Amino acid sequence: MNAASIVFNNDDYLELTSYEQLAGKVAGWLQLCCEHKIDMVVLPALLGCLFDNGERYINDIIELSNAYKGMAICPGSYFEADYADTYHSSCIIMEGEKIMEQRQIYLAKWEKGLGLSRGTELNSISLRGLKLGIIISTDVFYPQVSRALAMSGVKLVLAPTAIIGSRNMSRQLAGLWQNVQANLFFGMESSFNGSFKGHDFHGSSIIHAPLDMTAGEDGFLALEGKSQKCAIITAELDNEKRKEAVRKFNTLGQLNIEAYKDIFMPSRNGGYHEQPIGKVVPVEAWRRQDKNKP
Amino acid sequence: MEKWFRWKLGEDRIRTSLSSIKALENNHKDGRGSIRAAAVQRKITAAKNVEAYAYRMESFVKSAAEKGCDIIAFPEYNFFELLGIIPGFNLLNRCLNKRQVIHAESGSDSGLSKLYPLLCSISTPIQAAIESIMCGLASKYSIYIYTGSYFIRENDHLYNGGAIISREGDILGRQMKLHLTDFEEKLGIKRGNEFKVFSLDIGNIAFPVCMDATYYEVFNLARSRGCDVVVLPIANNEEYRRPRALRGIWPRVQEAHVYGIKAALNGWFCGLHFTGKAGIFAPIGMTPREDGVVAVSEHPEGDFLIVGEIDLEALCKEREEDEYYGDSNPEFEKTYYFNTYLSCSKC
Repeated sequence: MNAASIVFNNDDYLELTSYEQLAGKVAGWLQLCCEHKIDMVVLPALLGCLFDNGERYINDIIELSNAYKGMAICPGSYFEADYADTYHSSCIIMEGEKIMEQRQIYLAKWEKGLGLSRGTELNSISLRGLKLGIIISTDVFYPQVSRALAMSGVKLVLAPTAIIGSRNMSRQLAGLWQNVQANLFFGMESSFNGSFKGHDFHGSSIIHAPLDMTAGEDGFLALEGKSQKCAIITAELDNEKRKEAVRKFNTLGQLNIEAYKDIFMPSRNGGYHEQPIGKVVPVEAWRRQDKNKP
Repeated sequence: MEKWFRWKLGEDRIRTSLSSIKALENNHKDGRGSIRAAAVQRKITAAKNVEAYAYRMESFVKSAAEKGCDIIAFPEYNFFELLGIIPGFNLLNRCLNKRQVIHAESGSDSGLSKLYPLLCSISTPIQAAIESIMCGLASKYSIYIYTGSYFIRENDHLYNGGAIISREGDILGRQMKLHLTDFEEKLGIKRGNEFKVFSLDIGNIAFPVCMDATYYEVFNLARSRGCDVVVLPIANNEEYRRPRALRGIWPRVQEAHVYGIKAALNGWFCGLHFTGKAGIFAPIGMTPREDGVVAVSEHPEGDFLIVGEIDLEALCKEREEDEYYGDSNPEFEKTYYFNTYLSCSKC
């Protein structure tokens, strides 16, 4: 399967002044993918809410997709209104149809500030012999999302991301890269660079794979260059090579499910969020105690 | 064999060895508000007797105490040298190292299970010796010691685990490894199923072992039980590569927002080559270079003592401020265990 992630840098963002320009850019990307015989492409997060609500953006891409038979398109992310709730969502579009949808499960603090709601279900679909799912932006930092998808048999994750703050490869390695290494699926990440709702976002577009199947043993099948000119990075996702890598280091084969039985259990105050810090005796206090010892 | 090992690793010899150590009078506390931690990176070296082993352990503990450390952590398989007391073993070891005969992933280790009875017979005296040495050193230097790991025999099963020892020299508890390597499975080692967090006066600390850090679940459980610091002993029998090293404790620290202290074993043993850098890690936003590294060894081989500060107040603040930490989704999580682990296509 030929995969592509769109590279969307800060200059691309600054050039965009209208929805029409964005729509034109998307059409150009899809044409470029077609020329590269791409089967699957992922666009950056937040594109669908830069100028409008997500509905128009998605409808336009559904329309466009009719011209690209056989190409699966993850259009990035957008805000999806559902009665009183608004979700940070994404989907997969193919040949004029939305074939899968996904809502973001966890929220970053800036998203909470906008009053977004959380999705509650993870979806997947099989395409060209690979089961795939979507991990939207913030969810790359919540490893339970990746694990759940991997355990359901997902072998390819599409990840439109928008990472807040300055460009920091460490932050990105702590996101989808490490989830790929922990679960040994493929990961197609397309990063948004630019501003949205007063926040700056930076990141690199990367196609990830298990270390053992990448040339530099670094987990990168493709990584955007520092002065990337082409709007896409591409890689062939060879599932046989991935299976070989899994045979060498099969993380999921060594899960200790018995030991996890308290995970997220409300009675055990599960999860590592919103928990009080353990009671700590200040260092000075025990030093005083220490001195008083006979 | 067990009796012989008990004799060679006897309590009297250890006591005599420890009695020559002059306790540090002033444990160099300089009024700082943070905790200071030390992670041992050490090379496997031949030891002809238990005294030599004790001396080697003491050199690290003394150095940590002199630097004002509150806790020191030793690596996984922190006992290999003690096999050197077997007559002829060191010669055999040198031969095996030259031939590099064992490759954990090559399939040439099909006879490993034959070693199990030997490991069983020597495990108890080795455990007793290491714990006795470490208890003595902890009380002499008034420092918490995580022993590193060794084989622990319980109910006729062998586990890979280690102990945390108080400043007074008391064993506070032990933690068994929860996730085994293929190599350990072939040896016949059993995995633990219970995970503990120890509430110490320097913070709430957990002590998973090596491969356990490949699994986010371990750190999730640790954090859910109030853990602030995770100590991880490793002994990786592979050539060092940074991306490989990044698959372990570093990403777990970023996810769970805890401090991570990694102690690493290196060198050759029975044809296996171990490499790894000791280090102290923190969430990216807490480190000056925004790389999640407080301190790390310069080289994956050799002896190093890596020392770093642990600031729990700053950690608490970071947890509150980090964009990507701290959200919960009760609706998603309430069926997570069942949906993910019990009703999945992998199970």
